[in-house]
Amino acid sequence: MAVLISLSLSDMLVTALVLGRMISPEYFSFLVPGIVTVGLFTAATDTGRRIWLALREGVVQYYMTLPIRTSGLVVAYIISGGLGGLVYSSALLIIASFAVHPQNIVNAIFLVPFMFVLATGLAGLAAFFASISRRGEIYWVYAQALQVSLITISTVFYSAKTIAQYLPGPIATIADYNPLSLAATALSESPSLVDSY
Amino acid sequence: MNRVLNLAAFNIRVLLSDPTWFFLSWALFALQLAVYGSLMSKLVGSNLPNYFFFYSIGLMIIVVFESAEDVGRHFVENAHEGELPYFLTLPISRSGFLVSQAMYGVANTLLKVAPPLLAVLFVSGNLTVPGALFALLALFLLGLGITGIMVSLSFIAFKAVDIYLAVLAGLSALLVRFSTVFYPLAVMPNYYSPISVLSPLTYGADLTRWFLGFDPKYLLNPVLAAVVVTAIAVSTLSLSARIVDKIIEGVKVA
Repeated sequence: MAVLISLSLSDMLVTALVLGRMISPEYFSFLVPGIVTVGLFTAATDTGRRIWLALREGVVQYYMTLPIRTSGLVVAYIISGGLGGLVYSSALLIIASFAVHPQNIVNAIFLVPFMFVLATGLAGLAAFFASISRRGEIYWVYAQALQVSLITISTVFYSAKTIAQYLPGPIATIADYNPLSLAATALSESPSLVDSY
Repeated sequence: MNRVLNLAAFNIRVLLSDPTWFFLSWALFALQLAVYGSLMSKLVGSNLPNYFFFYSIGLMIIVVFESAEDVGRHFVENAHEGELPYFLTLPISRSGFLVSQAMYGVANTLLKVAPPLLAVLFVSGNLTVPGALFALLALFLLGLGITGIMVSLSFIAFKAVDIYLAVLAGLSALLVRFSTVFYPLAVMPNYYSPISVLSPLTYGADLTRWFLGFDPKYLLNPVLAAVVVTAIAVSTLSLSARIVDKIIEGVKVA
């Protein structure tokens, strides 16, 4: 958790700050909710890594001996991923509130159920990839592809308006319906900022 | 020397037996460049002319960095799976073993970075033979330096592999964010620039850009960058040679 938080903090305090100097000072406020969303994504998809390790190291054999059904085990992993994502992104939001308008926190309290559902869904997706990765380190291929495609084709770093202006329609549509875009928009400070970049 | 080449060839054959990683690396490079690179260059606009080209070189530095990380992980993985003790029983010196690992790392890096580099240079109209060769040389030296750092850090994994992975993630974050991989030194706040000049990626990125003809006013002095990149490659490889020589005997990853 400490490593994950330090990664997101360095994104916020270094990358966002410098990009803000290159683009415009308001870009920092635009990017911070996106960084929190990426943090939620990273924490939730860590479930996949834990399942992959459990399968690889044989820990799962121990779990199978416990008085719990296999489906119960899967649900427990996914819910833990969802809760992990929620706790982690909440910690990031609290930290972010020192840098951007505190209204975000008020919004975030109302968004807790939505963030939990999103994190659980992402954890489920990562768990699916981990469970089908039978060959060597192929899980990391899926994980990397999922991470780069979901984050790049989203409105985390640029607005839907910018994507629609410069890239083909289907890419803009994918970005619009990407759950990370929805979360970043929901956490954003103000509707005017959402379309600024 | 033949034995070193044999061991390196064996490792490279294992690497080539699963081309998925290469295709994934090239595809993700293309996706990031086509979407993130093109949109961010529009947002940056005239604040940094030709940001698309600047970013594409930065992305190549990331590919080099990640493949050097792969070499470190591969080394630790060998210890974890019990292959390392086997390699140590082979009639090959410890330094020969390290050279074979470095050759594996170079092959991994060049295979991942050369096609994107040539494609970017061709598309942007900057493709010249000397430019491409010198840029590859700079990336190769940087890759060697980062490989040396990663192999030197592997002694941590001999104590606890979780701590090794955490150190790797933390170090990567610091080295990349505080470097000039995605933004030039000129736009960094004053309080970050002293940290930026401590990152080897800063020198590797600026040297590669200089070879490819990027506006020098946004870059570090190329002579300084070349000296630092070479010095880091030599010093970290010497350090990892000492570690391989002294610490590695009988290790088992925790």
